[in-house]
Amino acid sequence: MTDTTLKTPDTVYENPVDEAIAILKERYPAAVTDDSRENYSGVVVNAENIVAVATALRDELGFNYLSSVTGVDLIEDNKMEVVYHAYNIEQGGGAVVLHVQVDRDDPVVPSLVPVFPGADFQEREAWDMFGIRFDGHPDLRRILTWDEFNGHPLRKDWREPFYEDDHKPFGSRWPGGGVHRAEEKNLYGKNVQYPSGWVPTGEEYEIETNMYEGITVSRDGTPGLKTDKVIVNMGPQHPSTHGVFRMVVTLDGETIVGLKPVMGYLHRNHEKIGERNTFIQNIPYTDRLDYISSMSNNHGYVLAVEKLMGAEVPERAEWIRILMVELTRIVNHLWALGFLLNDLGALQTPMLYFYIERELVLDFFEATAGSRMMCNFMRFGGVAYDLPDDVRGQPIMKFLNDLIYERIPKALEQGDGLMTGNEILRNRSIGVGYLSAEDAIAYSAAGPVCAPAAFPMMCAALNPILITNILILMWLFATTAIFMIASSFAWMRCVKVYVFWSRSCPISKRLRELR
Amino acid sequence: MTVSPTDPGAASPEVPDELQNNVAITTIAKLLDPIYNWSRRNSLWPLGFGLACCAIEMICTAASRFDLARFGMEVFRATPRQADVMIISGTVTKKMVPTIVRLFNQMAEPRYVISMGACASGGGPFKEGYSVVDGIDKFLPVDVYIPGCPPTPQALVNGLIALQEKIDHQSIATASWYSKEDPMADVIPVPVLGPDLVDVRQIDLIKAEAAKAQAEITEAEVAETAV
Ligand code: SF4
Repeated sequence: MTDTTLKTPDTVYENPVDEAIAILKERYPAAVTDDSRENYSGVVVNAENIVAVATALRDELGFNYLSSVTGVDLIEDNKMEVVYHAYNIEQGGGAVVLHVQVDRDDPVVPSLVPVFPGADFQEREAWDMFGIRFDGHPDLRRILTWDEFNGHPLRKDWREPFYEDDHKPFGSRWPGGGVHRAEEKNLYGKNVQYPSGWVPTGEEYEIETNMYEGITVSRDGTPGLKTDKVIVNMGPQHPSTHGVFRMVVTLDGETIVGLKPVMGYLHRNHEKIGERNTFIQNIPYTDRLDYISSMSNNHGYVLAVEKLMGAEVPERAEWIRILMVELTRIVNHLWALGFLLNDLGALQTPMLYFYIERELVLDFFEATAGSRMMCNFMRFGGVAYDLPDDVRGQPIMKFLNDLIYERIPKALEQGDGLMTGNEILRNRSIGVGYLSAEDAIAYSAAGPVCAPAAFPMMCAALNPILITNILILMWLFATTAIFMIASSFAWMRCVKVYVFWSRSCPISKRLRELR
Repeated sequence: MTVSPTDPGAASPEVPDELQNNVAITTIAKLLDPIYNWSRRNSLWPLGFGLACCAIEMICTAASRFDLARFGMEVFRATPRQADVMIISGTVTKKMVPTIVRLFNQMAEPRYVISMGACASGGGPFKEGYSVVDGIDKFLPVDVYIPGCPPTPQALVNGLIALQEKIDHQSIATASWYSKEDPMADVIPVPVLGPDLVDVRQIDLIKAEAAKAQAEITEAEVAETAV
């Protein structure tokens, strides 16, 4: 840092986070204070100063990547808290955590969208779930529920229609052992509740005026005057969404010039259910977060809980975990490649190529964990089962070696042959939907989305938690990504690099030794 | 000579006794049904839409290893107008259910609904949540339920075979979609999103509840002023 006035002299800081915090405290002595609560890190910032602090953090201290904006309901103190995590992309390392606390009855926080555009959806989510209003947000609508939804579900005192108890196991079921259907206790026989005295009319919700607000269709920007731009609604049922996602796109001829994403069609309230669950009851729910990588989700969750518990994992279990997580990652990437082609217009056929090896990996999962997709395999301090002796009638080591050293590399080779030189694919992807590195950082893009943008934003790289192999892998990902110019090809390259790595990776050897 | 389609096998009184064993009397429906059903059961085109995790298994089932093409079901249609069967493959959220009901209404008869997995059948692991519909059968008539979370591809195939068997037992003569009665009878009113999901068929109940709550409030007010 060249500007010496910003530095506190004489102090040597262990890491850039401490240094940044010290500088912030010195700059804004009245607004930035230490978080005095036990086991909390970061600083508490006054709501009025958050924009200034965030700007300083981004521009002067290099913490230019806002990874999360979260709400917390501190019901005992009658406060709402907003937590921000900002990372320094160039230097790596941990996050600067900012806490902003406001009155629970009328929580208003200035919006950070002007500083970090990536805060947009996250602030909308905090509004939707906690009712925290963000002053100056350009489009503060609900994001996961719908506009007319009653209440803010993640507030601690908000109760869902089938509410029974604050914590599981519910008193009605255990230890007494009563079973009932929740529908029987609900007046409407369904999972619904209405505010007392609400009279339905049934029609006003059909037109989503909110949705279309702010979209101009005229070329010169005059609202309402129709020239040759068209608004088209796409989804939530559309062959290329293969899930439930909706986009309101503005077309100029055949070019998309504007797009409003609408999500929440698969909002399954994991958080609220998780609040009621015991810790171990959450493991199967993590399977279903990103259902193509259930093992990885399991892993993230158990790692967090183990960190809280201070639990140790035996080495063999750790290697099994890594084997599972990495196979999951291959499966996930293969699937992504198949669907990339699907979405580019080659409906269904290309997917079949990438799907064959996935089935073999799923066979292995099924033999080990008992389920193909929802494995529910990791446990705090280890895994649920040891590896089986055989998979599909073959000794496990033979099966795995075949798969990892023979079949997957061959499949990748084949996929490479099909895709990389393919003219249609190149035309439809190179330079289309280009995301520059600056934009990716500003919009808080993470993981594979920013691999093509040539910078390594992988949470794991910033928060080293796994065995070092993973870090080497991340490094490989990052360096390959740097040489990428076109968006979709990064996928192919990443997978290839990954497989090179796994060929030289000692997992299966090590497992054999440990057996 | 007519034979009631509901009782097609009964011997007709108009056939002389001595000929009872030599003459087979049937109806057009009884002759046509096997052909009609055979062609329908082997070309069930599903609507190509996935809702959640179960959709991934549905796609696997359609792919090479499990190969739905063996049953003539591999043609996933992107539009409901061309689809015969809707596989509800995953968690039905309240935000999504109006769309699903609308899609169902757009499908041409004969149409079938398969509820795949725990979520679609009863809310599954997410039943207790605030944003999930506790079973698609609260809105649509379901033909086959498939248990599992997710059901394996084998289970899905089994469910589809169960649907084929159901089709085998249908008859042109009694099929509701050829009857002259109200053609709109099978149209499901699309639920709307209010403070919570509103099933239009329950509007009267909701209004009655609102009136009751209003009456209570007024009563309380009156009592207060009296004090
Ligand atoms: S039944 Fe299970 S696998 Fe299927 S959508 Fe629901 S949670 Fe996912």
